[in-house]
Amino acid sequence: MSDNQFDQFIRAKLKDHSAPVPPGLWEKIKPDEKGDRKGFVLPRINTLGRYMIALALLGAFAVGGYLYLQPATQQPSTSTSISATATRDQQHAQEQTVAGSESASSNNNVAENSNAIVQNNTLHNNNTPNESNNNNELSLSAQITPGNTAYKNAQAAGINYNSHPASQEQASPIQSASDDARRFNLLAAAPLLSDRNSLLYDIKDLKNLELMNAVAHTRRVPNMLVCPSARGGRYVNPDWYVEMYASPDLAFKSEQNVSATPQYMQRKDSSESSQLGFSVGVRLVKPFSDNLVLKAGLQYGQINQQFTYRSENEIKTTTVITQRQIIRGPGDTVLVNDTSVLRQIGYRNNTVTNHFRTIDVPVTIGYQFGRDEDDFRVGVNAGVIFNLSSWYQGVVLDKSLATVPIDKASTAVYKSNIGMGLYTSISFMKRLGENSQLFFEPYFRYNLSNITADQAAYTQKFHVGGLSIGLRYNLNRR
Amino acid sequence: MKKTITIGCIALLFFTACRKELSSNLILYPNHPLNDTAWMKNATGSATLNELAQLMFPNLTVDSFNCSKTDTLTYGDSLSIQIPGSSFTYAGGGSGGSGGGGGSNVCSGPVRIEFFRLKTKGDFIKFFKPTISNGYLLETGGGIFIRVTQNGRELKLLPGATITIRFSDTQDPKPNMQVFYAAETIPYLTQGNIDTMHNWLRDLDTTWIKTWSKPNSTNTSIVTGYELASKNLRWISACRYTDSTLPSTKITAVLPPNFTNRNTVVFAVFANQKTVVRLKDDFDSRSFATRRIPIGSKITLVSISRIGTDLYLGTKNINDVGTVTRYVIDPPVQKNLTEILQYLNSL
Repeated sequence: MSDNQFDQFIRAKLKDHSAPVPPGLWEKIKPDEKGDRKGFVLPRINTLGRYMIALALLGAFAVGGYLYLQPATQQPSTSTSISATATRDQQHAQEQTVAGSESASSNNNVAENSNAIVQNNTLHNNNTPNESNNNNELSLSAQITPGNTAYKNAQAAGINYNSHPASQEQASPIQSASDDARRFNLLAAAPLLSDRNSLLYDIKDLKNLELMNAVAHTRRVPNMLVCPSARGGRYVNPDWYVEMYASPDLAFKSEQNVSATPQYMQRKDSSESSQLGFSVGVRLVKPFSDNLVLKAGLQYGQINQQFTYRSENEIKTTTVITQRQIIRGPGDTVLVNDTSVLRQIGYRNNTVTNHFRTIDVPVTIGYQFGRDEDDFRVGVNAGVIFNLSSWYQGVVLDKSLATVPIDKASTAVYKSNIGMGLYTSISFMKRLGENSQLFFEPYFRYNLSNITADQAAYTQKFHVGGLSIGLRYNLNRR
Repeated sequence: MKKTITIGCIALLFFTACRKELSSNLILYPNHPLNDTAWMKNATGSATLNELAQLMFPNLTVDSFNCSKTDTLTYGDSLSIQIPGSSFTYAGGGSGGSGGGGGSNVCSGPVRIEFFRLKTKGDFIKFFKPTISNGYLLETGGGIFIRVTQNGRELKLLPGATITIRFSDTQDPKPNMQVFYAAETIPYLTQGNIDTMHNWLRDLDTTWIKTWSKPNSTNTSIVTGYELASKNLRWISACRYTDSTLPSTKITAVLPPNFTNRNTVVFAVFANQKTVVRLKDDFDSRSFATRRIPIGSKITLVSISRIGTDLYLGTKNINDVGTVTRYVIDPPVQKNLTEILQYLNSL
């Protein structure tokens, strides 16, 4: 038996054979519709399928927008041409041609393996050189060309190909015996071969195919696509972020004697020690690009200072129970318990916490390295902090070295507004979800003005270092 | 993971925001009297109590007379002292001084007399002369302290010599009063210390003291008192024993731990009679106690304390002694000396 006879035999036997769809195939392709639960802070996609769909939609819209906005002279890329064309002009999209011959195809070897589909947007121009798109992500796609093995196999599998006259530009829908067979046609061998080596797709199924290509595409491109604007191609990031943060702070004091006695300054220095403070705030973040951001917000800061002083002649009163054995007479002894008060005198090393509080408006500009979709980014920030209000609460030493309380309303020693300060920080951002990031931002704040009033006997500044920990949330939620 | 990080951030925020007012412990002064709550086995020589006595030292009335002649010293309607001539000699022996005497033991010439009255119950407290005779309670009509000196040397009456003292009383004179002298173990004015062993001793002459009454100098009231003949100088009083056959009990006073036998004295002051009893300190029970208090008596427990430079006054009114014999004096209140003396004078 010659090879030709063998082929004819096999062809005859398998002419009406239809290959069943493997079980579970569609479940693997079909997006998972379950598990649409909300996250702790932000809604999140917790299944791969939903995540893929979201990315695919984003990618599809992004690509569509990109192609829609790009100038007409721009040559579409092979990876986006299908969806772009399909979106813009379905009629044109329906006219798909498959490389008609093995010699015309640049990827015939792949097509032989039936795992790649060559899709070229002919745009009514059959003379346009075909480009083969080796789309490996579509495992069920196949390159079907008349005369090759795949084509023959497809025909043997009952796949219907509609032939079109050369003058016919409108594609006809695929006529398949069943829905399953039709889907198989779409995914495995959808292209229809015309007399002019053109393949026509069912429009509806073509969209699905394009969507899957978009899913694959968005895995490789940033989820925030950089779409050139229609006004000259300059990219403007439309995102707005809000950041909420809190920071443990440590204040550094610098002071200078003006008219106080050395004893006063010595006692003051020995009485005061810096303690951990904190600041909390919220700020808006406007990225100008993937890297340059402007931040402005409102924050509350509290500097804590431990003040230790000794108070003399402090009386401590303690309730005590005293047991006594009292002899009332010969042989008459009673044991009595008495509750009384014991007073003791001494001194106390009192420790109170002074609070210096501020309400500020930070305005910073930052540069973030990397791309927005990166899981981890680093940025540097610098700017100014405008003080809205400041006040001091606690105790201070008066001229006689006695401790006196000072409250919020008092401005005899400390100002109610400390003016402007400089701010610099480094940001470390870790993506938590599609719209949220966790960031750590060690920073340093240098106050330009004294916190002390003009009439104070000394000048004093506070500089603050801290570590802001917060969440950044994209207000343009995707 | 996200949840853990978020909770961690919030916890960190709360940790840093938490306002922590640090506690401050009292560091006691090591040698401050208020922190000294120790009792002494024998608090007789307590410097604090002696200082307390000196604080209450009275204003003496000082006068002079010629001891060679009989003289009567009169001080208003309340006191007169009739002194016979040539009836003094030196307490420590020896011949006369500059006033003459011709080398005999009889003093002559001008002498200095110092005295103060014991009129109220408070006076007996101020001078630490409770009305006790060998443990028995006395009721007094008053007393006097007389000291006669010549050239700085203290004099005493010659044997057989007698001075007559007429003093008024704040209450109606009681009958059957007798002359009592204080047995001093520590001369009061010479050292200024509390004589914790003080004891009133009845004169060998146990005749009743005469009482007297007369209009005052302005004829506006009647002044009454006692006229007693004393064979001794210094502490002299008109007293009588209370009825020792009445049922009595021992009372115990308890004070807070700060008030010890080194800084506190406690007296029981009878309400209806001029009787003052000092409660002795009892080291074993850390309390103050006295015996032979008639059951049913109405008394006031008075504590006077000196801790450091601060004075404290504590009181406890007892309307009916006998049902309860242990009394807790309310925590003494810090007072100044004037306030304490005013209170004592009002008793």
